[in-house]
Amino acid sequence: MKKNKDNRQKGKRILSNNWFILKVSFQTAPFLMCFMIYGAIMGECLIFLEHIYGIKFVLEAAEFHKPFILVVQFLSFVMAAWAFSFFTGVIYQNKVLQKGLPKIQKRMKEIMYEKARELDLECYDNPEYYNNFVLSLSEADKSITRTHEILETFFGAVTILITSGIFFLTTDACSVLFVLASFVLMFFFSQILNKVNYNNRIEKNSKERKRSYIHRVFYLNEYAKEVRLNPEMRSRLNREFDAANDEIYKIEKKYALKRTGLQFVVDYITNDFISDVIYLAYLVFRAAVQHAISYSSVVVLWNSSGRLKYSLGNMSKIFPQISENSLYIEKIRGFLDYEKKIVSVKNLPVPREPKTLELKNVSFGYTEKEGYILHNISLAICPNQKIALVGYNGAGKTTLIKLIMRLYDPSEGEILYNGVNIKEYDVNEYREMIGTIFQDFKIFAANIGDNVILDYEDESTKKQHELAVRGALTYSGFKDRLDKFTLGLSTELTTEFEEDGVDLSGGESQKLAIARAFYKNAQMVILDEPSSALDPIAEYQLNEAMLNASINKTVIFISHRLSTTRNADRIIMLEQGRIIEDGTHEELIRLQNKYAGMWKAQAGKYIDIA
Amino acid sequence: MKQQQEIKKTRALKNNIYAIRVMWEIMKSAIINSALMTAFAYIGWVFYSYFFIRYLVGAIERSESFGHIIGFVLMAGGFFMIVAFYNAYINGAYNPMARATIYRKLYAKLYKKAGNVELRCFEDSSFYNKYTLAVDGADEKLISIIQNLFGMLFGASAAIVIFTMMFLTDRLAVAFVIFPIVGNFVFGYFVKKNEYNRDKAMVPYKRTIDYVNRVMYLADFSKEMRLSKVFNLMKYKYIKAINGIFDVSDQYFFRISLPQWFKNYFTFTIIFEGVLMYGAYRTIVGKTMGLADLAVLSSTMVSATWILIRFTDSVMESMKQGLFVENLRAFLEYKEKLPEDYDGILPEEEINSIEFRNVSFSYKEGTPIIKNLSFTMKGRTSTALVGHNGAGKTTIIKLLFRLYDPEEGEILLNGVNIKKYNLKAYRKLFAAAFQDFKIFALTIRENVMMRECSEEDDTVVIDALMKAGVYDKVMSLPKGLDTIMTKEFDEEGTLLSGGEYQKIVVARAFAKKVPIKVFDEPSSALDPIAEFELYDSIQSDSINKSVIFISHRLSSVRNADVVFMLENGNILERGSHKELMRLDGAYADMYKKQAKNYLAVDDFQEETA
Repeated sequence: MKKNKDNRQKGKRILSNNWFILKVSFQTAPFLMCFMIYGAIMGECLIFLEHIYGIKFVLEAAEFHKPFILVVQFLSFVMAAWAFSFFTGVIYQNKVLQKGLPKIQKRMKEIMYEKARELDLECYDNPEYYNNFVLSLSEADKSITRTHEILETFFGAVTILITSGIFFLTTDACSVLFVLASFVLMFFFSQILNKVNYNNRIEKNSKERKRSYIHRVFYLNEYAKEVRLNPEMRSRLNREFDAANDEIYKIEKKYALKRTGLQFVVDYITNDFISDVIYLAYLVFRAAVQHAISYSSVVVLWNSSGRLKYSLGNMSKIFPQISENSLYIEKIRGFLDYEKKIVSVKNLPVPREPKTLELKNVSFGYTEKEGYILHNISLAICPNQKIALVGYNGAGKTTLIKLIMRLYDPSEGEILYNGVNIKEYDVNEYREMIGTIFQDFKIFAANIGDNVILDYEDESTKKQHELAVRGALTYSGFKDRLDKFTLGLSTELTTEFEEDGVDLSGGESQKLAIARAFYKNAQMVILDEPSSALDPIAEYQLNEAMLNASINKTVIFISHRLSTTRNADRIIMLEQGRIIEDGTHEELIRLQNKYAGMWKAQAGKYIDIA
Repeated sequence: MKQQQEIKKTRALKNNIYAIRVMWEIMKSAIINSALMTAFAYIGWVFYSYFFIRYLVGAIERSESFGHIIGFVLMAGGFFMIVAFYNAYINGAYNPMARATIYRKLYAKLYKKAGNVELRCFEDSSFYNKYTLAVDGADEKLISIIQNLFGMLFGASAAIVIFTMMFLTDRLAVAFVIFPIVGNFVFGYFVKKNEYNRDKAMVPYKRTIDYVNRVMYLADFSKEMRLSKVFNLMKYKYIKAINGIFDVSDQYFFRISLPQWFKNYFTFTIIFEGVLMYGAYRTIVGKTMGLADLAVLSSTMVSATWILIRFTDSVMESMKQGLFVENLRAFLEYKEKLPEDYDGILPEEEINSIEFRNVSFSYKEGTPIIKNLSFTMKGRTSTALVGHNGAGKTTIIKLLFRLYDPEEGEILLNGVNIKKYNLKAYRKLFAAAFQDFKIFALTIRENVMMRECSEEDDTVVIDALMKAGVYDKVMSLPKGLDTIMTKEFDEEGTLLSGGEYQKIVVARAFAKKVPIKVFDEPSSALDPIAEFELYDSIQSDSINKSVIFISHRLSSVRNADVVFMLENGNILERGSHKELMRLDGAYADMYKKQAKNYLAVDDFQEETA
């Protein structure tokens, strides 16, 4: 009883999910949608008129010696109707659909992108949510097309059902029973077959995954070197490959008998056998023995029984189809329904000058299961201070700066900027104040100017800002490279779109990324190991440039290379999510503790050349 | 022009034959069954739409006995029941199993080839693209090529049979067939051509849309998206792309719509209504055609049209598939320039010298990475390669491993050109830890040994993991050395941090008992203490062995017997650390810059000295 209720609710949700896409479609491109429905109905009506009613009309005209002119009139009408239908058809195909569909897709994307952009970063950490999110965005277009196809199928099938149904009922009502019997049996047995096939797929799943992993190893460039240097690895993986294939073969073999039987029943017994043997015998009996129907009717009824069955089949597939479609749409809606946690509580304006940033008893964990990564951190960073965060891998350095940027909110404690909890500022404005260069920063497939500005600006605004962009690139040490490009700031980066687009080296990309922070004229600059891809001399030059350009900024930087962090006003050493040491380089060395040990490890070997 | 077309046609034929040959080697019965299935399908079609209906209407007209007619119906039903059973067996049992076999044999063949071609092929984007197209879903594609081939063959035969029958029924009626032929081939050709061009013109815009979409969902871009206004830029690009698509579709509207209309009208309407009108005229007015013939005609014209359409689709499909076969063939017939199974003499176990003699090399023509490089390394010494990014350090290692052959000059091992050695045996002289490592979805033990192994190898594995500084971590995992890495194979698989993966990769080099070990920036993902410890391990492991290492951190190369300072693909300075410092050149400059900040602390000088 309860289960039944659940199912009903699910049914409601299925309809509402499909309706969700249809609503967007009708709102964005109502003309397209109406045209689509008209096309489906018109097409099926004409096919009925031509293939069923038309053939019967002509055959009966011949059988009962009707005047030829009637046939001419009728066929001319059909020809004219087709001419018109094809005319509207090509307009639909090449104009209405070509414009309407991208419009609907764009509308969907707009809704989703707006959401995606504001999604809390923690959504990316949650694999389940993230998968849904990726699937929603990458499958959105397909979901729209799928929904439209179902709509077309539905109207087409209804049209056939009405036209052919009336025809059957008026010509020979008993015939409908054969069609129905065939359909019901076929439906029943295909359900069983589908279930068998579904189980078969599930059983093969893990084996196929294994196969596709091995496929990737042999196929991807990144493994090619490894496989060549360790040829024994190849035989090891080959064994795994053979085993996976053997198991798939065994599974198929297990299902062979059951599937053969069901396939035979579905394809023949419930299908061709009923129509080509039983039904036909009935028709012949009606015509030759009972003389109840005309010869023409025999031919037409037999030929078109398939069509009626086909439309019944389509109707019966609509519910499974919308249920499946609903699964995808559910993901889209689940993603759209997400309520972001990082919101601007009061939308306070952010101060214009660097102010004190204070962390009070901040603790944080990404998930409850993993527990806290940061424990009870308290820390005050004065305006224009240069702070270095150091520590082992996994000490929580990157997590700490993510909290400062408000990509996450602390699980406990609070972060204050200018004495105000950062939650109370407008979140976008707050983030705008910080310039960040991540270890894993990205270069976009756009020109150099756009890559520094990271915003859309029209040509005239761009011109106004050109000087600032160039200045930022000069500060970051990119100027020499920039001068080599004939197109200057308009040089397209990456070969994503432009064959002759420029791929920058690791070091050059970093300089470009750093220019973004300069251009933003941020009050606070955060650098997360920005120099890891640079060789020592380039790193040295970059650090000099950074420090010179950031006199009026608060700077927080993370680096493994202690020579880089040495000149910071203050070095904060983290271990397992706690601040264990805090002070200038000299102070920490005097402490003779963890930092000093780390320093010694790195500096030790350089020292005796002095 | 015509000749070119001719060549294309013979090429297409040859490609099809090639596909059959590949399949024939893999599984003969699959070809036979595919042929039988298609043949039966067309036989059934032609039979029911012509012969059967002709007999039926004729029999009723002739007032044959009910029993007689039913006898015929049952006979036909019986025959096609056997066919249906055969089809069910093929679809339900034979094909799924055959697919598993085909997958296995075809991919074994492709992987073997992929493993044997030189590394360069993977980096050459035109080769790699072809390779990707040949390998992606190759099994399914090959199966459908065979199916399609028989579809064309039997489709053409069925068309001939059905036209002949129409001709026999009525000599003039068959003339109507000209309409679907013109519609399909002439107007169809223009539609296809313009559609193809339209799609091509849309590609850049669709690529932009895909790119924007990716930027929106990939975690890599997520931080930039939130911390900057780059979203506006992406939105602008998206809208521009959509407008581009609108423009293209406007441009092609008439060029496609017009032939499309004619195509449809010719292919369906004219023949259907034409034949009906003609038949009705002959029956009603001329009284030269019987009712049975009219019924047969109305049924055959529908089949004739659809058989023709199917046939055109098959031809179109075959052209598309031709490209796949072309790629598959190019890949399988590719002559390796540096085959992995390269045979030659076996190298000696003891390494006395490695020599580069005037070696030049470039990945891309015109941008040499290594220029006329000469040097000698003695056996049982440690050599460090240092220099700026892009100086050619890693390339030297790759040349030494014979992942590439030099364009000029030669590389000698113990005075013999390395090209003379059996490649597999030669590579066994080396163990390497690269910075762009890969972890395999196997156990930790196998990831260290890089081969099939058992618990007997444990002492070696444990020793290597200890040297790499990751033993404690591994032992803290519930399954220890048997822990499966990554979640690729196994949901229970373990994910480790980047630093831990790197340590496991370094352990590979420790585990191998080989004359020469290479470490290419083995510490890039490690924190300072771990890095320090790792270099200590490398040093103590490499006493009296040949070791080559690359490092940015010059303090770690100080103990090397020889340091090569590289710049722009050549050796700028060479000698021991002390010699190079005395030389006071580029190496000394780099070293001092790195040391500068550290040196300011005098407190430590006493302790470390």
